[in-house]
Amino acid sequence: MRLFWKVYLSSLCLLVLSIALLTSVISLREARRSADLLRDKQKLHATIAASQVEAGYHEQIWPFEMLSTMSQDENFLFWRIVDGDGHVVLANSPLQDTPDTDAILARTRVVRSEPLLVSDPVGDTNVWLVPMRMRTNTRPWTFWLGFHTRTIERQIRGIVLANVLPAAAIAVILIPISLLVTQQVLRRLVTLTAAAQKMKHGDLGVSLPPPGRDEIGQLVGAFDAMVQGIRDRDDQIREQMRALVEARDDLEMRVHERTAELTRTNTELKREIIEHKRAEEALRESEEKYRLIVENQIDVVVKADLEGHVLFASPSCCELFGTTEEELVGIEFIPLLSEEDREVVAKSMATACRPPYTSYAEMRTNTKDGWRWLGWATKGVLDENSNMVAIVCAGRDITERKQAEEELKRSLAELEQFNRLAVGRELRMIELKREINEMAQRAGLDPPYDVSFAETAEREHGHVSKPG
Amino acid sequence: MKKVIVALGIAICAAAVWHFATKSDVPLESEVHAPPTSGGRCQQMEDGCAGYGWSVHPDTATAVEQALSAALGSEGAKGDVTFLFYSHQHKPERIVEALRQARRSSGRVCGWSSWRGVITPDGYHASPDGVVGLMSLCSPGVTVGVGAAAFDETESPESSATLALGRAIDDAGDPEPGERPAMILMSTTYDGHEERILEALEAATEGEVPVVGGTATGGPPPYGSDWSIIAKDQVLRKGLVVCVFYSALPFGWSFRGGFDRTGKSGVVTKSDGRVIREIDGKPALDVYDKWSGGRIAEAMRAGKDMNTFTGLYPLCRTFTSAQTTHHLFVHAWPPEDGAVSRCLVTSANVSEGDVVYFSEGSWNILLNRIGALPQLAKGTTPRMPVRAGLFICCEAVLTNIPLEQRDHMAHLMNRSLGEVPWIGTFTWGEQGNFPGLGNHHGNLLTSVVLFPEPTAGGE
Repeated sequence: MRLFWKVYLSSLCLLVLSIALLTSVISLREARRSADLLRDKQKLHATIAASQVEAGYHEQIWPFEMLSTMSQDENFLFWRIVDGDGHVVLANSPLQDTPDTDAILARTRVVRSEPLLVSDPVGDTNVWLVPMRMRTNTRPWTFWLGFHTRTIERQIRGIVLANVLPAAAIAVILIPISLLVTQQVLRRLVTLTAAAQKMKHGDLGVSLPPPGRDEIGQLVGAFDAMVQGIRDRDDQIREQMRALVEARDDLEMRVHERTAELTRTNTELKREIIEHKRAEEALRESEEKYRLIVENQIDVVVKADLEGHVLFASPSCCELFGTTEEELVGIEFIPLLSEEDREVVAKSMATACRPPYTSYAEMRTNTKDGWRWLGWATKGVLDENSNMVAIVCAGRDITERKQAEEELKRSLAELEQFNRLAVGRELRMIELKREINEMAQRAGLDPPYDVSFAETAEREHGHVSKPG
Repeated sequence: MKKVIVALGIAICAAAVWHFATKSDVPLESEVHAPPTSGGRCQQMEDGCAGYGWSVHPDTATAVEQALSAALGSEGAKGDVTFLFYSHQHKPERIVEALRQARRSSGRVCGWSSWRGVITPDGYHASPDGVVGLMSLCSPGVTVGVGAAAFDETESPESSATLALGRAIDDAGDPEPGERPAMILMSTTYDGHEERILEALEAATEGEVPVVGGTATGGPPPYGSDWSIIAKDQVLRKGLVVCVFYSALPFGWSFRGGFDRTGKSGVVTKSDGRVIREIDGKPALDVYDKWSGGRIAEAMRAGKDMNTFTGLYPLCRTFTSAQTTHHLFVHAWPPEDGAVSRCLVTSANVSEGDVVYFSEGSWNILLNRIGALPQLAKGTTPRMPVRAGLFICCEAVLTNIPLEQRDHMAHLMNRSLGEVPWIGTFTWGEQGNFPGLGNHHGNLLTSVVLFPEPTAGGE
C-alpha cells in the first residue's frame, strides 16, 4: 500500500469518526428535543380527549373516533377514563388487565386542575393525567394518556446503530490498522532517524530496514543508497584529506620557507627602508649642509653646461660678480675669465671631461672688484650613463694667497739660498758623525752620535740629497 | 495480527448490533401476551348455569369442544339451550357432528352462520381460520324449544315459519294451553323471506310475542351464499330456525339502529321487492347520491366496497307509536350495474309509497349506541336480574367499526351487564320488536335480548 493511501485511510477514519460522533451528538440533542415535543403533543392529545369525554359524558357518547385517531400515534400506549374511585370506566383495551404501571398511577392523585405527567422511573412509560369535571365522591375523574418513549429511544438506538456503532466499528477496525500502518511507517522512519542520528555523529555503519515499494521503502532505499554514496564519498574524502594533509604539509613547508624568505625580504626591506631613511636623512642633511654650504659659502660655485652657459650661480658668486643669479644664468661663463688664462681654462675643462672628471686651475676672473685670482676646482657631472652633462666649478678668491705665494716664492728663493748653505754644512756634519761613529765602532767603542734621524729621513724622503 | 484485530472489531460490532437490534424488538409487557385462541366463562348457579365459550381453532371439532368446555365449565353442567354462531370457515355439519360427539350439549341448539366472528364479554373474536362461539343457558324459569323448517318443506316461507314455530313449541314441551312464548328468537337463511317469516310468526302469535333474530350470513366478499343455520342437529341452507322461550319472567330486549335520521326524505315511487327503482319519481340512486352530497357517486368512482360504505348511510322508515317513534333502517346500496340501472338494492323490503329518510352515522356513534343497547333492554325490565344476554348486530355496522375498536362493544356491553354472560353474532338482516308496533325486519340494526334470572322466591 502506498503511503498516500495509508495516510488517506487514517485521515478518513478520523474524519468519519469525527463526523459520526458529531452527528451523533447533534442527533441525540434532536432526539431529546423530540422527546420534549412528544410530551407536549401527548399533553395536547390528552387534554383534547378529556374535553371530548366531558362533552359526551351526559349523552353517554364516548369519543371513540377521536380516541382511536389518537391511538394511531406511534408513541401511544393506552388511554383510560378513570373515575374518582380509581375504577377504569373506559380504556383503549378495555378487556385486558391493566399493566403494572397502574400501581404507580394508583398512588398518584391529581390535586390540581392542570394535567400531570407521571413517568415510570424504570421503564419508558409516561402518562398524562388530565382531570375532568365529572366526580366520584368529590374526586375528579381523570383521563389517562399513556405513551412511550420507545420511538425516541429507537431513534437514539438508530443513531447509535447508524452513527456511533459504524464509527466505533471503523475505529475498532481502522484505527488499529492505521496504528499498525503508522507503526510500520514510523518504525522504519525511527530506524531511519536513528541511522541519520548515527550518521550525524559520523557513524556510517548503520543498519537500515529492507527497502520496500512504498514511499518509505523507496526512502529507505534512497537513504541506503545515500549512505553507500556517503561511504564512498567518505572514502574519497579520506583519500583527498590524506592528499590534502600532505599538500597542506607541503604548503606549510613552502609557506614557512616563503615566510622566512619574506621575513628576510622584509628585514631587508626594513633595513633598506632604514637605509633609505638614513639616506634621505643624510641627503636631507646633505642638502641642508649643501644649502648651508652654498648659501654660506664664501667660495663661489658655478654650474655650467658643456657649452659654458651658466646653469647655477651661488650667492657668493653673484656677490663676487655684483649681479643676481637670474642675470648670471644663461650667460657664457668663459668670457668672465681672463683671456690670458684661456689656455688654462681649456686645459682644465679637458681634464674635467676625463676621469676622474676633476681639475683644478687658477685663473684671473673679472669680478666687480676687478681682476682677481680665483682657484677653480672643476668637477664633471655625470648622468646615469656616465656621460658628462655639466660641470660644477668651485672658485675661491686666492688673490691674497697668490700674492702671498709670490711673496713666498721670493722668500723661498731667499730661503733656498740660505738652505743650501745650511744643509751642506749639516750634511757634512752628519757625514762626519757617521765617520766618527764608524771609527768608534771600529775602535770598539759606542758610536757617540745619534744619526738615526737622518736614516729615518732617508727612508721617508729617499736619499737625502747632499747639499749641493 | 491484522486479521485478529479485524476479526475482533467485526465481532464487537456484530455483538453491539445484535444487542441493539434485539433490544429494539423487545415488546412491552402488554405485547408479550399472545392472543388466546379460545375462551369463555361459565357462570354456575344453584339452579342452572349460563356460560359462553369461543374458539378460533381451525379444526371445527376442536373449536366446538373448546368453546363448549368453556361455556359449560368443568362441573358437567348441561344447558337447556345452546346458541351457536360460527363463521363461514366452519362447516355446519361438522359442528353438529362435534356437538354430538361432545355429548355435553343440550339437544336444543339454535345457531347460524355469523359474519366473520363472534363477540363475547371478553371481546371480539375472529380468525382467518374461523371462529365458533356459543352460549349455553339453563334457567329454571325459562322453557326453551327449538324448531326449524326448510323452505322447501312447505309451499311458502310463511308456512315454513309456522312449521318451525310449531316445532319449537313442541320442543319446548307442554306449555299451558294458550300460553304464548315470552320471546321468540329466529334466524333465517339469506333468501329474502324475513318479512314473510315475521308476518307468519306474528300471525301465529297474534303479534303479542316479540321476535328477535338475525339473518344468517354468507362468506366474505364477493359475499358467497354459504350461509346456514343449525337447529338441534339439523343443518339448513334454505330455511329458518325458531327458538321459543316460555317464562313468567320478563325478557328484556332492545332493537334499534345507531344512525341519525336527516330531513332528506322521499317517497318510494317505484320498487320491486328489495330493489328501489325510483324515489319521488327519480332514479333512486341519483336521489340517494344527492342526499349524500355526492359521496355515493364519489365512492363508486373510487371503487370502494359499496356494501360497507353505504352501511353508514341507510334509508330510514319511521314507525310511530303513542310513546315514541322508531326508526327502521334499510341498507341500500347500488348494484353492480348501478351506473346504468340507477337503482338501489336493499336487504329489506321497501314498498312503493314508503317514505324513506336519508340517514347518517359514524362508527363512533354506532359504537356508543351499541353500548347503550343493554341499558335500554334493561330499561324494559327494571330491577329484573339478568342471567344471560344475546346480542345481534348487523354485519355492515360491524364492518364500519374499526377492528381495534370492536372490543369496546364488548366493554360497553359489560358495563351494562356486569358479569352476565352473553354472546353476539353478526347478521345480514335483523329482526326485532318495536314495543307497540310489532316485529320488523330491517338492516344496520342491533338488538339485545336479556334472559331473565329467576329470583330466589320463585318467579
